[in-house]
Amino acid sequence: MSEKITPFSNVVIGIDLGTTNSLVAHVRDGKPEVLNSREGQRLIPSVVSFVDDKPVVGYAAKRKKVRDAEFTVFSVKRLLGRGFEDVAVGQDVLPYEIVRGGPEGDSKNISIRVGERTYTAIEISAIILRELKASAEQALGVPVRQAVITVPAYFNDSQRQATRTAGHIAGLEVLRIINEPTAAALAYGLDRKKEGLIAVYDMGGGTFDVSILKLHDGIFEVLATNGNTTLGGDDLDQAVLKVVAQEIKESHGLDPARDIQLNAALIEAAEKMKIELSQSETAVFEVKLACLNYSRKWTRSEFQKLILPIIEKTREPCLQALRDAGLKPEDLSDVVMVGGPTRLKIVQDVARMIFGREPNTSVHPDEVVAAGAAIQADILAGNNQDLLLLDVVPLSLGLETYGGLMSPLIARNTRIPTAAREVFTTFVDRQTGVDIHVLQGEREKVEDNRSLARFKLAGIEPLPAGLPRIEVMFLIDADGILQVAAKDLRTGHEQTIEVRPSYGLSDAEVEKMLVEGQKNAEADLAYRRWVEVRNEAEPMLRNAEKKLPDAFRLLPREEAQTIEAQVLALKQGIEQKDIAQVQDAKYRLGASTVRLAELLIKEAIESAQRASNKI
Amino acid sequence: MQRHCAFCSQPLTGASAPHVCVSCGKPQPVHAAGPESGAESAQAAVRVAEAEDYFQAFGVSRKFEQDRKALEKRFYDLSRILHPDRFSSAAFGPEARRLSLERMSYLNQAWSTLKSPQLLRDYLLGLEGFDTSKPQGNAQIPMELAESWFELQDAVMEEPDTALARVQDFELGLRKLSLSNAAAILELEKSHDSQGGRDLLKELGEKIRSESYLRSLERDVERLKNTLMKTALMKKNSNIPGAKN
Repeated sequence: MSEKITPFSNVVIGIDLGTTNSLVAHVRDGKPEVLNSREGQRLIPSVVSFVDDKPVVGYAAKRKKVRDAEFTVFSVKRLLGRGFEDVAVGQDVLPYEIVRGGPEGDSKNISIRVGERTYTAIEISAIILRELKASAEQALGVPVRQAVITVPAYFNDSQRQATRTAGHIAGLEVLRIINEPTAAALAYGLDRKKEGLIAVYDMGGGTFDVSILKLHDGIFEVLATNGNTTLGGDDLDQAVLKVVAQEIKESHGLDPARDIQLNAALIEAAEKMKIELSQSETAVFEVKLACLNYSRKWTRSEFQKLILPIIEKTREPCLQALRDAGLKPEDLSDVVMVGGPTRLKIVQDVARMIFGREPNTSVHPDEVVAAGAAIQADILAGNNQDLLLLDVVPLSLGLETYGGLMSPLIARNTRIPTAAREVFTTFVDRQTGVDIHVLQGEREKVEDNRSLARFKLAGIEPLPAGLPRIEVMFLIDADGILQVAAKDLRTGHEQTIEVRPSYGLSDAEVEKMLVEGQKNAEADLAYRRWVEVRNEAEPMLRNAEKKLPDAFRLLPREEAQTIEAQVLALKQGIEQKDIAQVQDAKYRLGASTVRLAELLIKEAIESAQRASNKI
Repeated sequence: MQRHCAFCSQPLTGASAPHVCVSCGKPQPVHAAGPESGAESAQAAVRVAEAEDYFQAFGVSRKFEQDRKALEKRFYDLSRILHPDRFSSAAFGPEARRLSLERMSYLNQAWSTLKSPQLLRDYLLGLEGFDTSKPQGNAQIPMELAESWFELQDAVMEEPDTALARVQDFELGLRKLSLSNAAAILELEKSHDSQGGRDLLKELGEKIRSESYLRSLERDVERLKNTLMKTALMKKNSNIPGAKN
């Protein structure tokens, strides 16, 4: 491990926790830079594969996607903060098994089956975050405790909470959750030369966001945001997969939907083909497995025709965001393209048609979000006083009222932080509790919106109906996350409310995972240290064993026997994985072989001289 | 430049300046270096903290007409000081963070209200005790207008041939009324801004209520007109020979 560790280091990193790939970045001398992963890459595929219950993350896990499909989880962001009913609707076609029930068996939550075990999406995300944290620590040579993590702008409260919790479990203090398009805008406008109204069109692996921002004198003000949290590059692969799966079914009699390994291989091939078609006019979709040898040529236009209906789904969110901002497309001075799929020409074409202008493809589509997160991290660390983000809440917040309807309390696109107050009273004499159901969404009926939390205002004085007056304050903080506080207006008593998210984990569950995570981290650390020690000791042992005959030949017998004993001690230490014994033996062996080494060198020189004298 | 405490306005002096105020002990927000930094912005921040209403928070008088460009600039300047992002580093404790959250949330609400002429109008009237959202009897409904609306609906049923023309006439009259009402509202606002007075506000409240009545009436008339036009179109189509095939 690096020796540069300073206990007071205050490094805040920026993390782009993506559906398909994740990145970690930080700011050095005012400029954001992406940090290399422990695999020496800029991207860390958001894939976790379990080997004997031990997680492997990144390219190493991605390589196992087909071979160890049963033990490999990807695109988990699609499940983060969502409930069983949301996922069961059908638009989610993830090949791994999703089961009902969280860690406490609560039936609304979901878990992912991996072999014999199940994991929640939060746990899988925490594993990825832990890898990102470790990568940053390796790259920077200091421990990292604080981070800014990005989320799709259109993520709701539960999804934001889940992201925060995952960060917490990974051992990170999440200073801020920021929206991906906002982060991208921050990186885009960092030099402060860019002013005016811009749109950020952000299509990631699993989500689509559009944000309209006003850039002015270092202030990045979001005017409106919209999106679709289940629309992204994954869906393009799925469209190809559908066509191919049908053909394979007909020609080979195999059903990819029933074969997890085949399915994973097809997804991989579809992804590869998509990337190829962004560069060239034709590409070959190819799968070579024991059970199947399949290849098919695709032209770009064939592919574009297939995916156009999906890309067209981005139009309405863009137009709605413009309407909400009170703007027309011609008011914008730039349309910034973000996310891997925006490399596709067809995506750029659709954006051009929506906004009536040439989209700006100059920012790095994969790295700009992480760079923006790093800039925000730098701002929060107090290093940058020039820039400030002013963001909005993406979805309206409201309460369930009589008749199963949602009554809005905070409208979408309201600047955050913000607060709304509502006074509640009782309907029956001597009633001591009032149930409150908080919702998020744009629909009229309660069941069409997302249930955020249910809680009871308890301990109300038993008075005639309508007399108690309880003021509840709903506060949306700078992360876009809801906080609730209540006050009895008659008595002035503050009421504490435990808001249990309708989905997600309870505090107790989080604590448990945190402890496990730390245990794992300690175990991981000890293991890494052992590997480092062993890697040094083993060559030394081999070398010493080889030189033992020379020791007996050149040194007094006693001295040679000491060396022999130390070699044995070192060997034993390695076998028993005893770090202390290995270190000790290594040290002693090093000291006692100094004379032997000198003698051997002298001998070698003499023999070389003899050889040259002979010539 | 001498800086002042963002909470008690005392000059920031001593060894810990400018991070902590020696007078009230509160940690200071980090300022953006702008034309308003220093004492002026600190006082602006105090204003938000102590404001009893949105006008006070922005340091402007309780008037309908506002310079929105100037308000926007103030909003940005205050945001730079008060936003929770400025209180995130380890130098600040949980109390400073909570205050920042509360103040920024108040500032955000204040700005979205003052920014919109309609919201500002309702807010100002509400502050003065005239709640425009609650209907107060039928006083605000112009009786004459209501009567002629009922007459129109009857006429449409009885004389379908002239119905569309009558509705269009009514619509025109209604639009004229709306315009003069809107002009009256602006006039009343102007008078109030220059001389004040509760009578003016009371009258304004009535005009605003009749505006909302006019608006809902306009929607009803629009709906009636659309139905009539659809019927007329269907009739026309059914007269074209072969249209039924």
